[in-house]
Amino acid sequence: MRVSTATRWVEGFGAGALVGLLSLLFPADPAFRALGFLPQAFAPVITASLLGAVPGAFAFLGATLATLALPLLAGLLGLSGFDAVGFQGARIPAALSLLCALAAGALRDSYSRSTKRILLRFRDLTRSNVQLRKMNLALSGLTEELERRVSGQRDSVSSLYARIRKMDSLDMDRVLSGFLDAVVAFSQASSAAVFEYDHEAKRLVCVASLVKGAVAPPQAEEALDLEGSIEGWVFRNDSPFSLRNVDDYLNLAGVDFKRSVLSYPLRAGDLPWGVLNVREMPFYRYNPVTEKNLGIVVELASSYIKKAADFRDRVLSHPRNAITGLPGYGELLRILEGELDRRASRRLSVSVVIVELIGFEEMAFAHSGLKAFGLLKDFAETAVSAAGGRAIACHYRVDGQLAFLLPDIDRDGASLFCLSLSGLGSDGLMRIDGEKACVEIAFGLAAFPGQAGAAAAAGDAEALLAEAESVLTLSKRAYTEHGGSCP
Amino acid sequence: MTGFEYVRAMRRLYNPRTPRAAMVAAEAGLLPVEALVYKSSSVKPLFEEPYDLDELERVLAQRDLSFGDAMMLAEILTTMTRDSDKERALFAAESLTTLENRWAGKVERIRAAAEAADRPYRLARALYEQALLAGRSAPIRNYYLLEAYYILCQLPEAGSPGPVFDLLIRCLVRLDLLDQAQAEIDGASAGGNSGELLALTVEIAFLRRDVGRIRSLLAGRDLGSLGLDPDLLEVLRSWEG
Repeated sequence: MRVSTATRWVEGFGAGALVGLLSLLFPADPAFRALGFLPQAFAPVITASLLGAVPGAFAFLGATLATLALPLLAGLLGLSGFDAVGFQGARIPAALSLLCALAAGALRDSYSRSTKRILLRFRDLTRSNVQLRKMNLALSGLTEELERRVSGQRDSVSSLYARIRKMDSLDMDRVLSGFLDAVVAFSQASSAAVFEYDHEAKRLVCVASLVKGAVAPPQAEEALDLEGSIEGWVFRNDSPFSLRNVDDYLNLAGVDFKRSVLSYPLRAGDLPWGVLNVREMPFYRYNPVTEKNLGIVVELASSYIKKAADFRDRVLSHPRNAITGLPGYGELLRILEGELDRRASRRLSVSVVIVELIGFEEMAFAHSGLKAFGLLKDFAETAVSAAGGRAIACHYRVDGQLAFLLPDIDRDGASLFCLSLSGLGSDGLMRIDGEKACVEIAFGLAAFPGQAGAAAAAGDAEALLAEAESVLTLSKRAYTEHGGSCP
Repeated sequence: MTGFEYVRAMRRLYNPRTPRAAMVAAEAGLLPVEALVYKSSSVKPLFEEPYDLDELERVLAQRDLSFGDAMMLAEILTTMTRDSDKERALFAAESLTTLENRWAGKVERIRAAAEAADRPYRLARALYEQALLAGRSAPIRNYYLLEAYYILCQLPEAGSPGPVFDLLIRCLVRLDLLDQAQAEIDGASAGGNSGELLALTVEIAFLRRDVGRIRSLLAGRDLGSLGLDPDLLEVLRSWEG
């Protein structure tokens, strides 16, 4: 309970006066000489100790006034024999009492102020503690919400980067598969198709499609005319199409737009290449943000499409082995010459790795040529995959030999590539008739520009292959000398 | 301890898996508060490839997994079932089964629960969610959707706009019965101006590629006053421009 200052003064004065009037009860010895102390002198000290210096002073005043009024009151009350003489020697105790009261009051006030300060601080700390607890609780909820939002974020930059990296391949199927994966990730499209422009037939041919949200082989021979389809319109005008803008294009009248929600022209580098057509996607994902994101994916895909399209034109147009689908030695030479020509002036790297599966002929004899070549094909695919889709696989001079061209990879990169292939034979990853095929692998490698002879250093394809061959011969000799690990 | 000091010392300290765990650890004095900042700013989207199996498992193990999170997991796990790594594909398939079983359990619990006024609606809602989770297989999805639809049809609220009616229309839209859904909306009594119903009507028009109808439905509407979810509002507003 809070007591006001004036009340405490009155209380002090009252206490002093009450003790002062105590002498009326002892008229024979009002100054308590028999006891040896004067209660009136103690009252201010006790009051000051309890209530403070000022109430103590008021208690002194009350006690003094009451003591001075004692003879008069005794007369009024008819107290006979009241002896006030004993108070004559009380000046010194009174003065001491006042001094002690003031000192005790000052001490009490100081203690009280300090206690009050501590209490105030404690109150503030308690309040801020409660506030902090509330903030902590709110922050905990906020952290959880943010975590959920970030976890659920499907179109982050890092996610975009991961998807785009999947397109980095020379194999057009892999590029388009990665591209459609990115389209699904950023639009949740359940049906879409990629069309490539066939300049001979002057039609758009479906080369990859998305069915029920998963990449699927393209519909058999699906082709569209440039006139009369949204895809054709998009290709001809090199402009994206969005369903909501269908009324904005008068020249779209009569064109069936029910097969398209979004459509984007695809470019290989700076040249028109084909069209992406999104046929079905959830309504709630069809918004400008998704359109913009798909535009970014399309833009970023163009360099990968160009790389794969160039590779296809350079490499895959050559005659290929019927079983493995790989170009032969003659084509290898032409492809290597082309790659060197393109890089020679800028001294960019091209590496060649020749791989020989030792014991291939025995394997072909034990099983069948078809199965042995099937194994060779699997090996080539795994190797290309190990190079991140950037290696070009070809047959070499004899059966069981493969050559891998590694554009833009130097000798160190080629050595790492060899290292990654060396485990394939012993890890049991190569199988024939369902059984582990124990195959030893010999490598030969050469790189341009390198420390090879003048011809190879100048970018001569045959010299480069000869250098790789000599390393292969050394490798085989080492194998023969140390003996193979296969039984 | 500064942030970088924590990063340098973190290998020796307790490693919380989530920002929430970091916060609890910081509160208990086990970790400096920098751990919370570091963990909060290091959250990786679940959709980011390569998928983080530990993180997927953690989210899957959450007892109060929301339907939205379950759908997100189902989408990621469905993609993972096509992974060339057979172990990862198997993990995804098992996790999908776990997810579907949880919703099947939810349906069974509601079925077995005591009769209550909102039980049929809750049951239909759970069946609808289960249908979307089992979306990979069209016959299974349609089976659950039809069951939800028949339950909703028996409710007296099915004829007038409200949550029951909205869910009924959603079932029809997912069943690809667009004409029937539109007929139900047209036949519904007055008061069909709710945001949900408008969004559903626009969605039906979108699925029919009826751009003119979408524009007429949204013309002159104060979309902001319909109390729609902000994302959906954004989608509808994009048609106004």
